[in-house]
Order: sequence, then structure tokens, then C-alpha cells
Amino acid sequence: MAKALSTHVAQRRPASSASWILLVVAIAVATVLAVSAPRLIQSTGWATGESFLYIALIAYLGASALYVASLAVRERALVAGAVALTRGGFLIHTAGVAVRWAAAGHAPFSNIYEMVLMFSWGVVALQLLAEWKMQLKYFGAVTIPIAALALVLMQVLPGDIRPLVPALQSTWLQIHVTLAIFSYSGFTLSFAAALLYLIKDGTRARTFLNWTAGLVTGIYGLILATSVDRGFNLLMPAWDAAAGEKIMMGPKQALMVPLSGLGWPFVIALALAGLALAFNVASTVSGGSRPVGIWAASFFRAALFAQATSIVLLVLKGNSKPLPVPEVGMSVVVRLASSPFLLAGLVAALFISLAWEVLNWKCDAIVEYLPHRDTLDNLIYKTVTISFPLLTLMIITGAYWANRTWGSYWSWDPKEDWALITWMTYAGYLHMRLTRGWRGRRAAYMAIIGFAIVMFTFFGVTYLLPGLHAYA
Amino acid sequence: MGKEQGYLNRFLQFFSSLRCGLILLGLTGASVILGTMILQRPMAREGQIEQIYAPQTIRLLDALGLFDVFHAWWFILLLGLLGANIVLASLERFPQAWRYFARPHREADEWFVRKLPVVREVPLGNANPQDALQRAAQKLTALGYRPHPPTLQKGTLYIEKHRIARLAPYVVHLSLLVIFSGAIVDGMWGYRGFISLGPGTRSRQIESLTSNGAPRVLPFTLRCIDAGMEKYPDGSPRQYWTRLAVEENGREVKRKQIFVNDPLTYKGVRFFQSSYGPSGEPSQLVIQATWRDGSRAPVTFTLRPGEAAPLGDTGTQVRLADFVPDFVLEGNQIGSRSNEPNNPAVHLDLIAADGTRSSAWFFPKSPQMNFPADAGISFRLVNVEMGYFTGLQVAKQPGKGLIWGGCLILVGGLILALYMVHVRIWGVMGRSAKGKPVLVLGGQPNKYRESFQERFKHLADAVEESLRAPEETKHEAERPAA
Repeated sequence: MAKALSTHVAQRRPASSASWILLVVAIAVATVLAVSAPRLIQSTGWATGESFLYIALIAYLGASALYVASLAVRERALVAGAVALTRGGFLIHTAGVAVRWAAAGHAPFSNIYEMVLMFSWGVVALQLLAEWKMQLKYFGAVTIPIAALALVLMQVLPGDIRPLVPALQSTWLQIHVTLAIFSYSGFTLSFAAALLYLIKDGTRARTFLNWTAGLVTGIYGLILATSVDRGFNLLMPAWDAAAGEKIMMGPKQALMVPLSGLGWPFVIALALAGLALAFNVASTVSGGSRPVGIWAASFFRAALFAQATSIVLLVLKGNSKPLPVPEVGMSVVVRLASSPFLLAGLVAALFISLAWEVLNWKCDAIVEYLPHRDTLDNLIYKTVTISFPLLTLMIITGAYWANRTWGSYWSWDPKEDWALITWMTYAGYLHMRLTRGWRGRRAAYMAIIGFAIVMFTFFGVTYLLPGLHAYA
Repeated sequence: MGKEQGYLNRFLQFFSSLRCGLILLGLTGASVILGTMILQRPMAREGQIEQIYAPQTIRLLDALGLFDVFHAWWFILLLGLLGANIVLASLERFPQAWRYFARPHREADEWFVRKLPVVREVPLGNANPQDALQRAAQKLTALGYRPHPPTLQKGTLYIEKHRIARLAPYVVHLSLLVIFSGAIVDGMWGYRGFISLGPGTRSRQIESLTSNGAPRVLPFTLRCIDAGMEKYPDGSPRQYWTRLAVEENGREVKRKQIFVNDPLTYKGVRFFQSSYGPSGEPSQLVIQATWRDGSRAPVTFTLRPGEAAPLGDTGTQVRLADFVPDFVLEGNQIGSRSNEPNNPAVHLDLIAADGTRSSAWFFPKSPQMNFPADAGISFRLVNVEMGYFTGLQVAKQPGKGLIWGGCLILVGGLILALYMVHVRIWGVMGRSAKGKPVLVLGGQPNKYRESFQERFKHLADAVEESLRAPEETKHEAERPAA
């Protein structure tokens, strides 16, 4: 229906529909600002880093809507609105970074909160650069939502300013982290190019659904296995609000609080995603049986709703009043901030499900609007050729710095290992492209996998595999 | 014989192929992932592995070397194979790349140029066939593409740029080999260790940090003058420092205050500030003794480890037998939770004037545990000063230069490989399909054909325009130069 509507609108009244979308987004942004600004100022005061970031986030969300809309409805006004919102948001974002820098007394490079802040900033900075130098405005439809997502993620990360530990007091911190941010942001751009390539290329939504449904099933299966008990209660770590950390019962063993009945939406989402996967595999094997494929898509769409419900319920119940824990006979609170990995998994699953929805929707107008496949393929390569040397330099400067601090340039620390895996993945891509002439869909899939590995190196290692690189 | 040769050849061919390289790269990557997913012995605390994994899992993973992937023989072998693959692949392809240097193909005929991937027939316009080539060469020189003069005299316009880019893959692969060799040199002749020093103490013994490494003796003595830490207002550490002196043959030869990130280097051995904290040993205790029956006035005395102190004028000598900073009973073993004096336990030896010995335990934080409970004298800890130590990491890395040199070459090689294109352009006089004389331009880049096509089109357009210009303009243009 969305497709029919948008093509209809595009054909009949392009100018008025564009200004209509522009107006709605502008009103939405203004309303959110107007409603939230007084409360925000009350709680944090004027011109704090947080309020700046909040305004930047709203601007990015508005810009995301306009960028995506501008793909479907070719209209200058939308793109101009998106670019204006992005630039305005970027200025305020920069001010937020500056405030944080001044308040902390050091560059905001020292923990995961500040890293996410700078990563989001780097993504927008590179997007603006790409728009200015290479006219790649349509990349904004992927990059700006990612920047906005990073700012959303920041809201649940512990953002208190801590003084720099001795090992971080080095010029090499600034060099190493700056390189990291620009290389990760650069890989985000190549991810955008790869995603747009797949849309342009008309990747079968069915093929993509196998991957998507598999991933969603995996993530929800993992959540069920680790965080849901037999009474279908979701277990979340108890949070010590005063200390700002989890309440620990022993080494690596947090006190878990059962949220009664909250396991059910997760079970339903898992079941629906699993059904979608099964039906879709069946449809693929049977060579594209239509009714089976339609069932798979319907199940997956239902799973999408179940995922959204799970997240909404989790957000509503996650930051709750004190809950009783029978084990210790007292009431404790839980905070979403205490399970960033659970959240990251949920958001990633939702994001990739929405990506499938976009592919499935595959509005002809978008496909038509995007440049030629070869151009997009070239852009994947170009962004990798910029990011890969930056990644190499990041690893080298990290090794040099570690050698100055600990007398060892390589300690097989998880963060180092994953940076090496990222490096090897893109080295493989470059070999395939330069020597074997790999192009097209395979290269695009590789760029997407590479980006997933970058994100795991960035967040996953920090939460799952702590080591020497404990700060971020 | 012939058949064996065939197998060997085929094996070498596979072993030097990109496919084999990518398989090895994938296997190495998978092993690294395993190494980050399974808790590694060098990173684990004592007993942590036994706590997490079941005994049979431990046996299996130990047998496979998966608890220390990065030092397992098969991982080293994998890296070795990867290195060998890089060497063989480079050796196999290098002669081909070297041809561009040894025997550059400069002179060409029309047939050759027309076979090039990018070709353009440029009409001669107002130029006559004799000097069209010269005029094209002038225009291209003005655009920054200077033809090779001797070849031009022989009738072929030949332009070449960035030939060095052909060597890029070899530079990158060579740099990886240099980095590998640096790591090997460090593994064979370097060492990493740890020295723990108290203020005023000396040492030349290094505890090894590598597994199964023996302690080492330095060829010089390291003395800690003093050490300390600075704190932020909130109490978290801001900086650790140690003032170190190096002594050789009893003479001080070097002195430096080291910080985290700023080590001391002497004779290729580097000392890094690594840890700082209470050693768990007291440096001085101030104790008050009170007689329960009130027969004497209380006495306060100062006690240092290893030294006896007189108990007032009673003729009794007191010695510190034992000190536990953070007392805890683990089963029936005495242990200490930390090196901070949170719950100290003091064990004193008392030697009376007549030589009779007795001993007393007292617990300042929990006096009900004092032993013996019915002793005539009760002790109270007035003050305790804890000793501290500074921990230094020691590293000798003879392969360091190779590592950083290799990194520099790697960055240079990547710039060559990704941003420099070997471009060659040929131009010869030929004939169009209708038999009219034309200038045939052709070009070949070693990569990035799309952007080269644009550049080539731009150049050919400029040449075409310059040939179309009337003869007079050419003379005018030449006049100022003449």
C-alpha cells in the first residue's frame, strides 16, 4: 500500500506532496522540541551537553525521515530540508561535544559513552563531507539513521565524567581514537553504499529474509537462553543506583531480578521469526512457491510487531519502581543501562527487520532514483580504500602506544584481536576486488559483513570480552 | 619421477595461490576468534578456568591447545604458512611486475594501440600528418603528461606515470614479512618480565612474564629511590611514578623519574611503570601496652619488622612475628583479603629478661579475638605505616625496529596500492576506417579503469581541440617561447 501511495503521489502531485512531508516532519520536530525543551532545561539546565545532544538527535531523526522520503519522492525541497536539518543538528552536536570536552577537561575519547558520541559525530561529519565533495546526498538515508541510533544508544550508557586513568594520559590517545572514529565512520559509509547497492540491484527479498529471519531467531534465541527463566520471566541485573553499577553476588555473577511475564513477548517474537525462517527456507528450496513465501513474509511481519512490543514493554518496565527479589528478600530496581548488550541485540534485530521491510517494499521510485549499480559498487570500494588505511594506522598507533605504556605492542587482547579480524576481512575484500575483480552483490555482502564486524569490535568486545582495553 | 614433479608443482601452485592465501587468512581469523571467545590461560586469574569450564571440557580444550591459542604450535604454524604463502605468491608474480621496469614496452604500432582497453581515434583537423604527433605531444606536456622523448622521435607517443605502483603489492607483502620477522626476533631474543621494588631497594632479578620463562639477571642493578602516586580529588589515581637509578659496578650511571607512558631505557632494556600499592608488609607499627592489673603505667613503643623493641623498662623485648593486613580465616588457614590494613592482625613475640618466651595475637578491629584472652598485658595498635612497592614491567625487544619499520613500509605500500595508478598512454599515426590519416591514442591503467577513462577522454578532447586549431595559432603560441 505504501508503494502504491508513494508512486501515486509521485506521479500526480510531486511538489505538494514533498512540501506536505516536509511540513509534517518540521511540525513533528518542532513539537517534540517544544514539549521536551522546558522539561529538559528544568532537569539539566540551559546549554548542557545533554540538552544539545537531545536537540541534535531530534534533528537527525527528522533528517532521517526526510532523506528516506526523498528517495521515494524525488523532490529538491525534501533533500534541502534533510541537508539543512543535518547541518543544523551537526552544529548543535559539535557544541555538545565541545561542552563535554570543556566539562571533562580532556578530549571526549575516554569511555564507551564518549566513543559513541564521537562515532555518531564522525558519521555525520563524513556524510556532510561526502555530500559536499561527491554529491552523495542519498547516503543520508542510511548514515543519518545510524548516527541517530548511536545517539539513542548513548541515552542508556553511563555518561558520567570520570577523570583520565594514567594509561590514557597520552597524545597517542587522541591520535589513536581520532583514527578509530574516522575509520569506523568510513566503514559506515561503505555499509550505506552496500545496502543501497542491494536495493538497486533488486536483491530478492526472499534471499535477504533467510538471513534476516535467521539473525532475529538467533538473537532472540540467545536472549531466551540467557535471560528468560522457566516461568517466562525476563531476568535483568539489579541496579545499584547510588554506585551506578550492577549489584554483584559474586565474581561475574550479578543479582538477577525477574520481570514477571515479560518473557512472553520474546517467546512469541522468537516463535514467529522461527516460523518465518522455516517457511522461507521451504519456499527457497521449493524454488519460490508463492503462497509459502507469502506466509513467511506475514509471519515475519508479525514477528516485527512482536519485536516492537517486546522493546516497548521492556522500556516501560525496565526502568521501574523497586521490584521484590525472593532470593534476597528485598526490593531492588533495574535499569536498562545495566544490560546494554540485550538492548543492542534487540535494536539490531529490529533494525535489520526494518531493512528487510524496506527491501521488500522496494519502491520502484527508489530503485530508479539511485545511481547505477557500478557507481554504487565503486563507492563501496572507494570508501573502503579510505577507511582501510585509517584502520591500519589505528592498529599501528594503538600498538605503538601500548608498547610505550606496557612494553608490549601486541598482547592478543580481545579488542586487538577483533581489530585484526576487521583488518583481515577488509584485506580479503581488497584482494578479491583488486586481484579477482570481485564486484556486485558478493562485494556488497562482504562490505555488510565487514561493517557488522566493525560494530562488534566497537561495542561487542567492550561488553562481552573485556580485557586490557577496558575503557572502551 | 615425472609424476612426482607434477604433484610438487601442483602443490606449489596451490600453495602460492590467492585462494590458499585467503583460506589461511580465514583459518587464522577463525583461530583468533576462538582465542577471544575461550578464556585464555595467560589472561585468566588463578582458578578462573576451573570455575567456568567443566573438567572434561578443560581436558579437551587443553589437548587442542585452545586455552592458549596464540602460543599454540598450530597457530604459529598457521602464521608461518601464511608468511610462506605471501613469499611464494610474491615470488611467482614478481617477475611479471618487474618486466615493467626491466623491459618497458614503449614503441608501438597501430595494431597494438587499437587493442588497448581505452582507445580513441583523433582526427587531424588542421594539423598535417607530419607534425600532428609533435603538436599532440606539446599539448599533453602542457597538461602534465610528458611523452618519453626518444620514443617520440621513433614515431610513438608514449606516456607513463607512477610505474612504482606496480610494486605496491610486493611492498605491502614485504612489510608484513618484516613485521613477522620483527616478532620472531623478539620471540627468540627478547623477553618480558616484572620487577617489584620497595623504596631504597635494589634488584637485578627479573621475574619472567612469559610462561615457562626462567628468571633473568640484568647486566646492571636497578635501584628504586622512591615511588608514589598522585590522586584526583575524587580519589581515583591520576599518575604513578618511580624515581629509578641504574647502577653499574657500584656506580650510578643513569637516573630517571618514570611515569605511566614514559619508561626508562638502558642498554635496550625498558622499564615501565606498571603497578603501585601497599606491599602488605608494615614499615612501622606504633603499639601501646596496658597492664590489666594496673601494676604499671601504659607504655607506647615503636616496632619495625625484624627489629626488637624494649617493652618500657620491664627488660622484656618485643618482636613482630607476623602481620596480616586484612585478616580472614579461610577454613582453618589464615589469609589476607587485601594488602590494605583493613582488618589487621598482629602477632608479637615477647622475650622476657630471663629468656622465657611467650607470644600474643591481637586484632585492633575485633579485640574479642585477642589471644591469649587472659594475658596480663593488652596491646592496642596506635598507628601502622604500610610499606609499599612499585611494580615495573621490563621488556627487551630487539625486533622493535623491524616492527615499526615494517609498519611504516606497510602504510607507504597501502598508499601506493590504493591511491597510485600505473598509467600508460600510447599514440601512433594510423588510418581511420575510411582511410583518412588519424592519430590513434590508447591507454591502459593497472586499476581504476572508470576514472582513467574519464581522464583519458579529457586528454584526448584536449589533443583533438589543439589539432583542430588553425596552424597560425600554433605559431603564435610558439612565439613567446622562441
